Amino acid sequence: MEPALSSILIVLAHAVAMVVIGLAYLRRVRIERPPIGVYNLRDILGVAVVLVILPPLYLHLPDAAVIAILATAVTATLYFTLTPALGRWWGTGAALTLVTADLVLGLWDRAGHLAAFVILNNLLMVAVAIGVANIWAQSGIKAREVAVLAAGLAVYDMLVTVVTPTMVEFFVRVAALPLAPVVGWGSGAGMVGIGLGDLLLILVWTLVAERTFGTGAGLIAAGACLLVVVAIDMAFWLDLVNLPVPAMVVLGPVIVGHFALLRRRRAQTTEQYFAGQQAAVAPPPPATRPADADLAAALRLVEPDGGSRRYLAIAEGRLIASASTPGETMRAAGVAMETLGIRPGVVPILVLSSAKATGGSGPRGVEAP
Amino acid sequence: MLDTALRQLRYGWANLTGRRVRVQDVRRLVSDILLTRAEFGDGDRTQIEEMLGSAVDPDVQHTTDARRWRATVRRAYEETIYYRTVMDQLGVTPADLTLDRSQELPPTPRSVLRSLPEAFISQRSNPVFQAWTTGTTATPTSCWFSDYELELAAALSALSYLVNSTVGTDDVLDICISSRASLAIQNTMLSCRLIGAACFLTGMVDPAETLSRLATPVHLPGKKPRVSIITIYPSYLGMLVQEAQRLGYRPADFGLERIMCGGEILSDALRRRAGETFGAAVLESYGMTEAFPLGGIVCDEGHLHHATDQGRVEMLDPSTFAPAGPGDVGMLVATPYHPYRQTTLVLRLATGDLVRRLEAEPTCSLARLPATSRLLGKMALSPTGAERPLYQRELLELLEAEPEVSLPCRYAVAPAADGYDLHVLAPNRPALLTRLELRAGDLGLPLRKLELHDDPSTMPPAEFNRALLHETTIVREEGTGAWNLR
Repeated sequence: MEPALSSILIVLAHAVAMVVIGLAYLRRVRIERPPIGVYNLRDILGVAVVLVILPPLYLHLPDAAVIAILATAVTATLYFTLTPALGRWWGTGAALTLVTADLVLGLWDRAGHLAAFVILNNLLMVAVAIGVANIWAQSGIKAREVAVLAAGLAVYDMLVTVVTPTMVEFFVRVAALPLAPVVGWGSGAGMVGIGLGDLLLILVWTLVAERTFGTGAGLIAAGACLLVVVAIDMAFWLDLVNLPVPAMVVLGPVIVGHFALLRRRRAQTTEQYFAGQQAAVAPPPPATRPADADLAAALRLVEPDGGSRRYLAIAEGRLIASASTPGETMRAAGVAMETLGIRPGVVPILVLSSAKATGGSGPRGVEAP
Repeated sequence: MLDTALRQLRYGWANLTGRRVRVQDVRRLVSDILLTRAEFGDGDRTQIEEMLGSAVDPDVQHTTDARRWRATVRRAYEETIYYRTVMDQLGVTPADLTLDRSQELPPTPRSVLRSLPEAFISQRSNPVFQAWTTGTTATPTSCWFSDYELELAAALSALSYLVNSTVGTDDVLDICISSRASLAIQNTMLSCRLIGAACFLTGMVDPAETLSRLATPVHLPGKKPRVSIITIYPSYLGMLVQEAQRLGYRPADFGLERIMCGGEILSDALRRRAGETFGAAVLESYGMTEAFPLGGIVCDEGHLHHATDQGRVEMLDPSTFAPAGPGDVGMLVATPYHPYRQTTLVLRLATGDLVRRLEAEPTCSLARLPATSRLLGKMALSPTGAERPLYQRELLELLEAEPEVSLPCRYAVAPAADGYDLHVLAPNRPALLTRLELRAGDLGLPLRKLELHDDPSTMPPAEFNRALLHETTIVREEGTGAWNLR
């Protein structure tokens, strides 16, 4: 039986809402991060190990243990997500209340699942995805690392969904529990759902693409990932597919491909992104070398065995001072820069040369030796 | 991020328990801070300090101190002839000599260390590097260090530079101290390498030549285009200030941002004049070869704060060796702890450096660290003949504020029963003399007579300063092609 279009649209609406709220959260809310440390590949490896171990582990744990693990993880994530926006007390209260409500509703009607529970659980999972993705994105995770994670999860998802039934059994198991890590709608064979892991990857790639390569890249990342979700759902609706589809198998290559297109672009740091978002004073630009033109001009004035040589100061293509010692030359250059109106911050190049200050093929005002 | 947390835990645990600190952990923490700064900017210094365990609760600090003191005493007794002999003579064992009973061990005079350094060297150490003090106050003293001590000290210095934002990856640092100060030089250079800052040694050559090098652009990729930091002795800084003014340098002729002073007393007057001449912040630190790597830094409010993680600093009455009371002048007595110090072991080293104990607890940004006044002077150079001692700092504040007294100022003090006679090498002009006398009165200096000398041969032998450790360099006058030894 193909799923109802309304179920597909509801699930899709959750994914879209997650992306929109997640982006807004990244732009406006700062999650507290450790003062030392940046997310790196070793962290990704740690996350990957947890993601790989958990589903089969859940299958062998009693319900109470699975619920305890999920409740702890969700509460902690909600705490870190909500407190920066609501404050410590309200954030803590909201996290505890929401998780408790989900637990009560889920345990009260484990067979049928009340609509209220499904709505609440969906909202919680969207919030968890927003929180985790923002923690990662705001902790400096690199686009390359997200791409590596996506590639690894694509292979893993294929193995545990298509080759073995682990993931299907896992979702069947947790679907009957509160705090199920899935956003879904409908029931029975007509149910449409998307796993928390898939949502997380969609959002984390969107956020990291935006943070690293700009708004355009972020929007394209979001669009491409959501398109994958739409395509998979439509395949179900059109009855082209009747088996569970590992979304990461498609999402992974999309993310890796998008990263391959972006990787040569100039990447901005998290600090630069936040500064841009807050329209704050941008961090000072990194120290720069003088224009190659100036260096090339200075090089033309160098000769290995010149006669009487002097230090020449060159700035913006002009000889601005010369003297017999570097210090004297720089003092004269300082005065000359004011007189000539050379912009502040320019530091002349100093070259030892026998060139004459009469004009010629060197910098303006200098004849090359 | 997880491996950073693991390293912090290991480092914190080693700090807390007094166990061996892994140099690699500290080096990687330096890299972690650099990566974090590159991604997120400078961040919150207090948070970083808390994370590295630099800001600990006083009770925890006392427990940690007690543990480290015990470990250091035990090693000193078991591994050095000097402390085994002293403690056997006193009839105390390392177990008896707890932190609370540390006063039972008399302070170690520097003269003993100077006379027989081998008596202080651990039998289990692997000495690879000998450092000498500069000897401006007495015969130079030698101290041996192991590779581990040097590497760890450099890594910790790098960490401190980063946390305090003193040196960054894009800085260009010029070392303008004596080329024979090998310990300080190699420590600074290795720290800069860990941070990724550019670093070079100029030494203490002709001040005109040093100024010329400071003004010369360096145009290196990823670095500031001119020297941004110098490390320097205050007396040599005075020389540079005077020469820069004589040659007509302006602050904009340099790219200096920070001047890091140490090794001598830095007066407020010189700090102000150097700041005006170079347009840079003048920072002050305290350290000595014999107590290395123990040291201190001066905060914005003018307190000298002593690092507590690498050793213990006491402030004792210079004559009775009882703890100095609030407002009293005391001598700094230093014990660098194991594992930061493993080769030349010293317990309660009487540094001879005088400070005043603060009357109230500091409230500055470094209030978590124990503090004293800045150095008043060295005991050996603070005459005590009159009703009260006359400290070097007082004289430097008087003389270095006066533009007509050439820097570094040369002076000699002759104590008498009713005051001190101060002889200063300066133009013998009545107006200058009057100004100095008036200021000396304002400062409350117990001077009986103040005499100006045009000619150094007419005055008593002047006090030493490190600017006298002048080094020569060959300079070619490019205009004339003449070579000069300056």
